[in-house]
Amino acid sequence: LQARYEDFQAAGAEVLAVSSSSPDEHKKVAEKIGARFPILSDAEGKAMRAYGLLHEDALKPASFDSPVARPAEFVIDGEGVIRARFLTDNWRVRARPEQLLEALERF
Amino acid sequence: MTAEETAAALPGASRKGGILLALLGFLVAGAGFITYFTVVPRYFPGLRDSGHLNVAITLLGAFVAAIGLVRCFRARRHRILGSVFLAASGLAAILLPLYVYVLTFQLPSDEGVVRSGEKAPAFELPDPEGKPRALAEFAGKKILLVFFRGAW
Repeated sequence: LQARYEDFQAAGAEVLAVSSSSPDEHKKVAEKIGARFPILSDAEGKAMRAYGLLHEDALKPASFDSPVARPAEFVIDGEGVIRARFLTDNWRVRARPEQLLEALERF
Repeated sequence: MTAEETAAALPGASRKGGILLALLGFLVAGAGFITYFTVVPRYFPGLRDSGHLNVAITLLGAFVAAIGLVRCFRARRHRILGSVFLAASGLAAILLPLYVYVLTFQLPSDEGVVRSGEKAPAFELPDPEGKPRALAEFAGKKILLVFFRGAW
């Protein structure tokens, strides 16, 4: 994602990432990958629930008590309306940067 | 006559190099398993998405290890070590397909997920500095909003 960040910016878009890790963990990750976009911490799954992505009964290690989301990407326009949605039926597979760029450039 | 003796007495049944084959199979299966989580996602995202190649490699490795073990038994040498190699290869050849074809498809229904054309639900969440950031801050701009599965 960071590798293509400039392309997304060039398409006039802000990138926002959401995961359930804590802000401290995100700080480490952001430094490691040199992320220039905010990685937001949804430790209680609030945004995940609001977007209908919360995976309630996900298989996960017992030690892992953070919420799990169905991975997804949304393209949102300046009026706050969702213009494109990328869902995957397999959490190994994510949308390609090219697909996201195309959706961003479509409007 | 035991089954082993029968196998050993079969005409043309090779007994040579059993442990080497078992080791080779173990290494191939192990490589297929480990590279799926290390080298492949980084350099070959397409191969990661389908997963077929790595699954095939682990299956091939387990198959070679099985041939090796049969030879170990015919030669009656290295039977335990050969079994260990086959067990480990077999485990890789079971776990990887399970992960690629079953486990990663375990996802909730998409019925409740917000759709295109709907208003993006508002939220406010802390950024890495602990500062709350709201979706509304970015009003007027296009936004690419990415949800990760769980912890980073």
